[in-house]
Amino acid sequence: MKSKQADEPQERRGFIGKITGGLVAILALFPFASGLPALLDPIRRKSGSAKWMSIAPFKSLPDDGLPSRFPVIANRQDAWTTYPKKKIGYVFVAKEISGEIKAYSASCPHVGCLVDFDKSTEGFRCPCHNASFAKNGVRTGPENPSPRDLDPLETKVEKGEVWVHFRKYRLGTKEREGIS
Amino acid sequence: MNKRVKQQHSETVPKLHWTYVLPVCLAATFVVEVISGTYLWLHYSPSAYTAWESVWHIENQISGGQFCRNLHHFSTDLTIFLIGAWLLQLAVLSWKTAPRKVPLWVSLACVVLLLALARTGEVLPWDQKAYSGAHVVANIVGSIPILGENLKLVIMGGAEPGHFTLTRFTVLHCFLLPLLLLTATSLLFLVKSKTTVTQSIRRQLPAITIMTAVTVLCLGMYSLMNDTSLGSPADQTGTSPIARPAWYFLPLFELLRHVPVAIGAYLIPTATLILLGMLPWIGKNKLGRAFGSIFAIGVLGSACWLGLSAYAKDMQDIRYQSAKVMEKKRVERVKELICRNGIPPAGATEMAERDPLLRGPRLFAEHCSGCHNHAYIPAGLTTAKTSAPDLTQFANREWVSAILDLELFQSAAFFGNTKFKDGKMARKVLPKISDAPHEDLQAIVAALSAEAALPYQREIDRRDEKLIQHGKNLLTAEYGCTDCHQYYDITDIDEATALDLTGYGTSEWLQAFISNPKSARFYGNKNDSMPTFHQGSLTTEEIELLSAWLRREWSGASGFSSNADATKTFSQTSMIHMP
Repeated sequence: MKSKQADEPQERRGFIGKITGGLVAILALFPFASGLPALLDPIRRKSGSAKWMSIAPFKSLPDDGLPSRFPVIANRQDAWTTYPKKKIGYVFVAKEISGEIKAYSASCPHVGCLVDFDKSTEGFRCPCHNASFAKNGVRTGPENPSPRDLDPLETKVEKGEVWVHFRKYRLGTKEREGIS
Repeated sequence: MNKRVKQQHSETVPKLHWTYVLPVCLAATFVVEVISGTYLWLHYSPSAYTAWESVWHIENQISGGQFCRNLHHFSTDLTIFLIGAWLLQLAVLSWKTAPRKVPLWVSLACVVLLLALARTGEVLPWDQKAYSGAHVVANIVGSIPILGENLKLVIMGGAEPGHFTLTRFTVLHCFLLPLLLLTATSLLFLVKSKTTVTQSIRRQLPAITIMTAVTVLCLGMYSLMNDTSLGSPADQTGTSPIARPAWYFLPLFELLRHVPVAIGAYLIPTATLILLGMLPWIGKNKLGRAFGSIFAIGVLGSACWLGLSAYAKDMQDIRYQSAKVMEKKRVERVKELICRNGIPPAGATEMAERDPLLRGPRLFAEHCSGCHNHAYIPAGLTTAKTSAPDLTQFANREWVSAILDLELFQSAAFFGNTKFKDGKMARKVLPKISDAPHEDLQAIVAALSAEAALPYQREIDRRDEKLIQHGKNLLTAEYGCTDCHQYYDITDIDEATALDLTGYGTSEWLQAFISNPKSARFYGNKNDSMPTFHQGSLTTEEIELLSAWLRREWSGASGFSSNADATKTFSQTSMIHMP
């Protein structure tokens, strides 16, 4: 009889304890959960930066068939700041001897450093991990860290202007997967 | 009796063995990092246009700020060196007995967390290197299958490095990662009871104090004698050719040159960590212990080898070395500008974008140095075979007299590799000028150069007014330059067959020339291979800056005559602003 009396409050205490424990856990999760939308906000914003951009007048392309680097200029949004008409990236554009316009993204497909075009070797070279590409963007050299050739971009000529479909690809992978 | 008690006591409390020297020193450096980091945090402002600026302010204007940053920076180096040494010690010792589980795992967790702390900290100053580093790290994260792209966006706070990269990295670097590190190390107390640890510390207090004092003193001395170097502000358009990680990441950097990203950045490091973490089980027999030791020493050895070979490659890479020289000049110039005018509200990046001496050489290296040389641009960034005139002293008297010298005109430094080498100028005009009396030549040179109205020739132009007038007369009359060249209203533009000499080399002339050398005013259809830059690869503002740089039109004295002058001016001006 005595022991039963002593047990009852203990059980009740255990039950109440479990409930409060659970409540505390939920309450503790609440602030974590409340910040998640803000934490994950960048994912919501990533969409749609692939765009046709006017790069240069057709006449201004050199005739030697070699690619030259052109800046891509657009409004750049960085969180709360809008930079009007800023360089948002670079593309290489070449007018081939045949008259065809070729364009390549200037980001190395390896980890995204900007590649240079070296006129003396007529090839691209990445200053970070030494990836090298021929003037048509194809990988060269026996040991090349880049998993794929330079990313080609679509081009068109309209009203004497060269337009490039400026888009980004996932880097470091063999397949070319557009991310914008 | 008393002796016996003492003996018993010493048996229960473990003595501070020499193997604990490194952890004690590590704890000391970490405490230095936390304290100096907190001081830096008080003055740091994470955003794309205040981060670099606040670090500059810390380094240059806050009393003792530079020392704090040195201390923070060098204690990071020392911490990572010590944890490497600790791993080596564990490896050597595990030859005899396998390492115990919890201390080993805590050590490995510390290695990862310390490297993460260092990496996030490297981004915060937001200089050229930091920005490039953020880019590369983001892309390495982005290459993870499926999750990668979203993970990258969450860590970076956006598709491109920017404000939120800095705010997020600040939270990681100053709060979350240190918290995790403290949690990991406190696990050690779970293995040993708290009382044993405190007793042991109390007993060994003298030894610990001495070691801590030596570590802190060494750090302090080193930080007094060496300064960290903040690079030039990030231009935020992409990576820079000087992008290199800190020395402790060079092994991974080099590894990425040889193996795919997934293997070099994830598979190899993870597999290595897992294998090292399994040493307590592997080391149950003699063979396993031998393997464990050799493996761990091998990992450290190959890391050293990879790091050194990355360093050796960079030493031989002339392009990288030249880019570093350019960066050094940029840093000097940025300092000078800030000491003269302070940092504008839009930030140092905007300031650097509008300065001819900062923007000009970059634009030149990118767009012009494929054909032209300029003494300001290091050799590694220009082409070996020039095919157009050297523009070092464009339009000044020396330059003009070189152009008018037949031998120099036909040399590779000027028109030797263009079709003008055997043009009308070289065949008919220059031989006549070479035969001219010295006084005539001097007058012509002075007159032509005066057309440019170069700011640094203002004094001599004013002095030689008569000579210049004489030269102008010679140009139009005796030497018949105006038969082909347009010169004020003397020749009609329709008749002119060579480039316009009216205001030759002025800002207006130079900008118009760079914009479109193929126009009738300049080379017209005789143009060799000078490209049209108008609305193309250069914006109007960029052409203005390039022209201003070629004409040496910038505020301040740096990059002008000798470096000694520039530094003198810098130290003089900086005195005014320094508190």
